Amino acid sequence: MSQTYINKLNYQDFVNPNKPNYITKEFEKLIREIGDCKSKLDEDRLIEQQIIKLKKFTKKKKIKPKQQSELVLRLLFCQLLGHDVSFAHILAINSSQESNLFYKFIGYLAASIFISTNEDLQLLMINSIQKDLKSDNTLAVSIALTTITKIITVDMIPAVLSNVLILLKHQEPLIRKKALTAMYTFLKQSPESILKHQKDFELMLDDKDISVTGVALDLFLFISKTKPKTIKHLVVSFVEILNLIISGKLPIEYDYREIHAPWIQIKLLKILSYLGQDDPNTSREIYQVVQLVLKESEIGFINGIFAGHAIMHECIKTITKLYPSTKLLELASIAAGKFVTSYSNNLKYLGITALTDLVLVYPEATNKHQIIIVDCLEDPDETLKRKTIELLFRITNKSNISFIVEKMLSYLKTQKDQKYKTSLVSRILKLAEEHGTNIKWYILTINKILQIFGDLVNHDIVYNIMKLISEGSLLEDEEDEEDEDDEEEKESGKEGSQLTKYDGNTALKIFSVNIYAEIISLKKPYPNILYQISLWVAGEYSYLCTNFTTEEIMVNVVDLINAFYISDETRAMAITALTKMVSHSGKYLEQIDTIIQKYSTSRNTDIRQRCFEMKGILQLPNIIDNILPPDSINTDIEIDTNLEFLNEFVENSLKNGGKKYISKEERIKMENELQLGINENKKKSKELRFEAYQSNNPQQSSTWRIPQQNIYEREVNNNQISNTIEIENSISLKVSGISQRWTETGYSGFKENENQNIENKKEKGEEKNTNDNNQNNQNNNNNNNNNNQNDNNDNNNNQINQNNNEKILDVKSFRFNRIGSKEPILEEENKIQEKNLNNDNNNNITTIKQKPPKTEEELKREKTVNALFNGVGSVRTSRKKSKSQKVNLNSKHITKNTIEKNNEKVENLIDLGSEKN
Amino acid sequence: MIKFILIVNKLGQTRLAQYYTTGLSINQRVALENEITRRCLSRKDKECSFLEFRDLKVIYRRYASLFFLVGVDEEENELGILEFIHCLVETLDRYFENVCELDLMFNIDKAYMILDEMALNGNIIETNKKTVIAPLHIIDQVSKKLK
Repeated sequence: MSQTYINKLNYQDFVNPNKPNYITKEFEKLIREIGDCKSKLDEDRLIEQQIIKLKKFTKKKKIKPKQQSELVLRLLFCQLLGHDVSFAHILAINSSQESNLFYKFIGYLAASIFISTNEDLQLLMINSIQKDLKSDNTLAVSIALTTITKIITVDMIPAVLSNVLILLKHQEPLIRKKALTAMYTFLKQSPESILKHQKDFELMLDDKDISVTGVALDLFLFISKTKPKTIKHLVVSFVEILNLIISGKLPIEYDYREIHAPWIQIKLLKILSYLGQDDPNTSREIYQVVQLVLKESEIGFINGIFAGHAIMHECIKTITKLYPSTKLLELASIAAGKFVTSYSNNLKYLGITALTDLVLVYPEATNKHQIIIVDCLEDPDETLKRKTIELLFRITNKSNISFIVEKMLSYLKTQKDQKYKTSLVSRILKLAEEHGTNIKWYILTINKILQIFGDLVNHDIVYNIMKLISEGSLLEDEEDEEDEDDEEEKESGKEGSQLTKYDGNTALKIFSVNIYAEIISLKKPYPNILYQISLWVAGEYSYLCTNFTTEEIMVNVVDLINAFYISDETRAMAITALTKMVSHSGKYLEQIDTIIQKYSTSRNTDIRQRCFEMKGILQLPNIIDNILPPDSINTDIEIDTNLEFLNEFVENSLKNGGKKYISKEERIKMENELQLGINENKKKSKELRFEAYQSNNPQQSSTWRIPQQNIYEREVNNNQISNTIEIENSISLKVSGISQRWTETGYSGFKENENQNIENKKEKGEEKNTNDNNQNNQNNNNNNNNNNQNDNNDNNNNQINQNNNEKILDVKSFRFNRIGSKEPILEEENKIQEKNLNNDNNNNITTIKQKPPKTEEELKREKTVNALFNGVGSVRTSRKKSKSQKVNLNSKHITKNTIEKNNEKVENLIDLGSEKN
Repeated sequence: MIKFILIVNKLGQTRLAQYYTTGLSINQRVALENEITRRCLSRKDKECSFLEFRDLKVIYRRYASLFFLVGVDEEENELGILEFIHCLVETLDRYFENVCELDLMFNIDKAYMILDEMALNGNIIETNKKTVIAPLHIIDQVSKKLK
């Protein structure tokens, strides 16, 4: 079709170009050199040299107009090839102010191109534009109007508007047309001020010259998009013009390949589509003409020229936008069918685009063409494929989902653009979720997607699948299948009969465990996400598997744990799955020992943790079923957050003289008040209170967290809070008291005491540097220091406390570090510990770990652990919680450490004291 | 609406560029031209003449060593633009009589003028070849009288 032009435009054929007479030798040389450049690099070098030359010229004071216009053209080339020539923009403006039309033309042309990147020049232009708009020379006016469309800004509109309005009535069609384009520019920039003159360009619709009407239509197209209501009365005129065009009453010059003024037809159709949108009455006025245009446009189909198709395509677009008319929609879908079935990719592309819009208002449109549409996915043309994918997303329904998803996946495999792939995968997953009727199909499809694109998938899908398998039912599924497809029903019939003895949920579980056990057995480097689902399903339901024995699955899982291609997270899940399988089946493999041995020293704490858990659980054959009961993911777990079963125990220990539990909140409150008190009371009473230290009762210091302080609060003085502060004050006072015995030369007595105090101060400083929290403990330390003998027993007690704390913390970290639990449980654990501690202090009863009494409490605690294991389904949330627990544990470690330090210091001091004595 | 019209040769060198949108710096333009040209040049003959690029659609047509690329917005009629490119080439051909790449380079001012007569503000304003060329003949007469 365009063959003739291909020959004409061939660079090789070109020998004697149309060389204008005004071209200088230098300019010709530049053009030829640019033409000869083989690479961008050569070109850049050439232009840079050229710019240096041009800079020399621009420095000259007087340049002749001819040379100036030639320089401007050279500058134009430099800018065209991507170089900044702002240094010489002024030349273009100077040239536009020349009186010679040619120089003026070159000047305006270059200025309009330069100015779009340099806004300062616009104001310099406005004067000459105003002058030229009033010129007698038609062409000068035309050039000025053209320049307006390119450079005008909102501020400049008032300066030229009145002139342009006059020019709308110019006798030359060229000027009327250009004036209208200028009006369009104004309209776009400030619609409000221009719409006042709407009457003026309404008249232009009836212009003798159709191209003037064409430009007027641009303005109305703009208005129809923004304010369709203001021009509804013009619908009749638009329809009339359209009728006029298709009836062939225009001059023959406006025909393009036997189509009458195709671009004006397109403009009219666009306007009508905006005006008829959501408006039944207007739409009815339009139906007939659109149908006519659609029919006429087919004429152009013969020559392989696309003008007819362009109009037809526009008709389809219009029909989709108008208030729906079944008759027109049918015609549109037939037309779209012609596009889709065409030989040309251009037409196919447009057909797909048209159907994508059409299918929203007329779902039947794609029914006949589904196979052709899907074939477009196999076309090598990327643009076409992407458009087809969009269409497929819209036409997917329950009956074609499996087919379409399959095609999409095979398309996805050929894609390289990672971002596009990711978005497509998530859309396909959504599609499968929305339209998939069959759980079996859904699971298989998701697996297929995960196998290939697992890395691109959002992890939420894992939990969806887990939930589906644990709660879904296969029976409903089969009923659906029967309704839909007989053949499929026959195929699944055999399986179905096997499964009928189970309820739907169990059948689904058997189905899925078989699939996932197979995936594990394949030992391929699939994405981790797929293995994670597989391992969870295998772990939960291995006993239901019909294709593999539990031992086989276990062996496969063991192999998987040792595989290099899985991540640590997956490996940890595999270990838990193994634990579950062992506890469900009661069977044990020798390899498990090796696994435990190997991964107990893993660098990954999670894996290590799970190994220890497995080891621990496997050593308790009596309670193993309680810890991991089969199929318990959906069982609700009741947690006794108050731990009422321990009440009796607590009462007993209280009777035996234990201390009452102080809750965390109360402790914090007390600490805060203490801090406050210190600040307030520092300036007050500076008296000595020796009796405070003497009436201490070491026997009862027992709360494990802040032991000595409380003693003083309660027992040394009646005024609880202020008391400890006074203790601190008293220390400093004591020192001052000693200082009375100092002389200028030195100290006369109490040497030991003094040394101790200095030592003490040093330590105090260090401690403060390391940890601010130590302040309270520091006070205790001081107390100890001053009451060495009294506190001796206390220290011993303290040490016992520390040991016990360590043990309990160990137990805790073993239990709660990974599995995670709800916050209250932790709190209650603390309670237990403290209760135990109270006991320890008074009765020397060993902690839980040392001698587990086979009591009710113990069993109940096991249940709690058990409950925690079953919470694996919500791995994510429990992880978060376990983190916060870790933090808690850490804070405990800190207090533990500081207490230990204090004890050490006290011990040292005691030693010192005894030596001196 | 048309956003830009580009004429590039098969080496990807720009021969004519007209933008109907503001707000692009020279560097951004160069980057845009390079990217679009690279994509268009890599496409095969049988593939469709449309290319989706960011929020634009690029419609291109090849004539021997020259590529005509037109960037449009979402609602523009693709085939209409494709035929407009052809109409533009026909007009250039009528004016230059056997138009070639060097014609456009030596007469870059005329090439721009033809384009300005046919499309302004991103809208097609004239497709009648006679009307388009008429003002050019006047300019030619003026330039011939130059000393």
